[in-house]
Amino acid sequence: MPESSGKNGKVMKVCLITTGATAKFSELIQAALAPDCLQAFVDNGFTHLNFQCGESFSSFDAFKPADTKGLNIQAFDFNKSGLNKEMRACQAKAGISKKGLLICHAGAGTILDGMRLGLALVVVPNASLLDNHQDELAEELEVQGYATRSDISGLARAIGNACEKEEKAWVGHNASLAPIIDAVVGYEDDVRARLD
Amino acid sequence: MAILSALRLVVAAVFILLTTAFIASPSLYPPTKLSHIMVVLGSGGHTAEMMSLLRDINPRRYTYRTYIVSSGDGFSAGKAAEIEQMIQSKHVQSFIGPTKAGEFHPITGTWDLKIVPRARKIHQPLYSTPFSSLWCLIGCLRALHATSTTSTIAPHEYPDVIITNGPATAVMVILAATILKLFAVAPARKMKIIYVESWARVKTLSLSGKVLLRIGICDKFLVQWESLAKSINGTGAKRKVEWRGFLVE
Repeated sequence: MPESSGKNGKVMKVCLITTGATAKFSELIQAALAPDCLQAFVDNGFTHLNFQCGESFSSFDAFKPADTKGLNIQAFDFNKSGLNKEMRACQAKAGISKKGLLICHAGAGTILDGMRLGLALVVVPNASLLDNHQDELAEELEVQGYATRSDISGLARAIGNACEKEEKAWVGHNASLAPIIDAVVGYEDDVRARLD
Repeated sequence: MAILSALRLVVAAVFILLTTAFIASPSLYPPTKLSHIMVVLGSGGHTAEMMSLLRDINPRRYTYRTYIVSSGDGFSAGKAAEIEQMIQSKHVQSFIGPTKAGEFHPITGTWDLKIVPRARKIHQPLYSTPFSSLWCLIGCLRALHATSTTSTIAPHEYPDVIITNGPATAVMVILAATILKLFAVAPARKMKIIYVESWARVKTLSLSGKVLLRIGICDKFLVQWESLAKSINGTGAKRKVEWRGFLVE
């Protein structure tokens, strides 16, 4: 967790980089810690980077650069109770933090969590998983304007793009399954029969 | 000769069962106020998504809720309690906590958890999959039957509806339900099947989805991306799958 801000009066801007808990994704950590990405973070006003490394936790120290360009960089392997707390640290809060960013692998659960909280989102599919439906999800989310899709080599550019673009809001226009279930079970007929 | 006549007897018995199964589905199903919903939970992602799908479930209507998880899936078993917490807390004033499995609450009714054997363990050799699948199917048949005998909706009533979003266990539960209906053990109006393809599926169906769509035993088959619905339905007049927008939130 990035330390709570406001101490020295500086407004935080947090980026959470998550690789998922189950598969190894060291390339994402390495790319985000490379000089061009660190520069992109600085250029876009970030103050804190928080890495959720999962299986790749051991490689974090190897990638961590000596020169952090003034960024506060932290890492952890995973949080059993989920990433909610870490994600909330990326939200905009008056006087404490600016709207941050979530960089994640293309896991549907993580993406949904990020979108529910209204975070800017960069989705980097894990190419080593050979699971092309994750890539399809990332692609479609970018087409529909919910997220920025990126590969490892384009991450620095994607960070800038995601911070500039106004992403489509996710919450509020989703259909509910409950009435569909009611119709199948026959509640609509039930109600109609009583009205007749 | 004896074998032949025995065979004839079996065929006749199956024929009678099959035909009565369909006769025994009266359209004048008496409207009931209380229903029994069965939810098949699967691995992490599926279960988390199911929680979102069930966000508007009215526990006053679905007063009996059964969750099916496969053995060894402690994560999903724990999630069932979390789903209950979400469902119950919206309908009880000064909510203190969800009821435990098997407990009865005057407003939110009751819920329980049934565990079935795994269809296929991770890294299980392929040749043994048919056996473990059969074992799982038998487990599902038993779980469904056990659910009916302990029904709190009405004595010996099967669940009204089964909801799933695609773990491997779901195929087995749905097959079991269909077998029970086909052989008239359960009435055809019971155990309506609603399949919701995972939100993560944008251009292709999951394996469970493909299998279930091919067999065609779902009463409602929903996908969450319009592009996916279009590519499956094509230009034909008959819609195989339905698209109503994103169902997760």
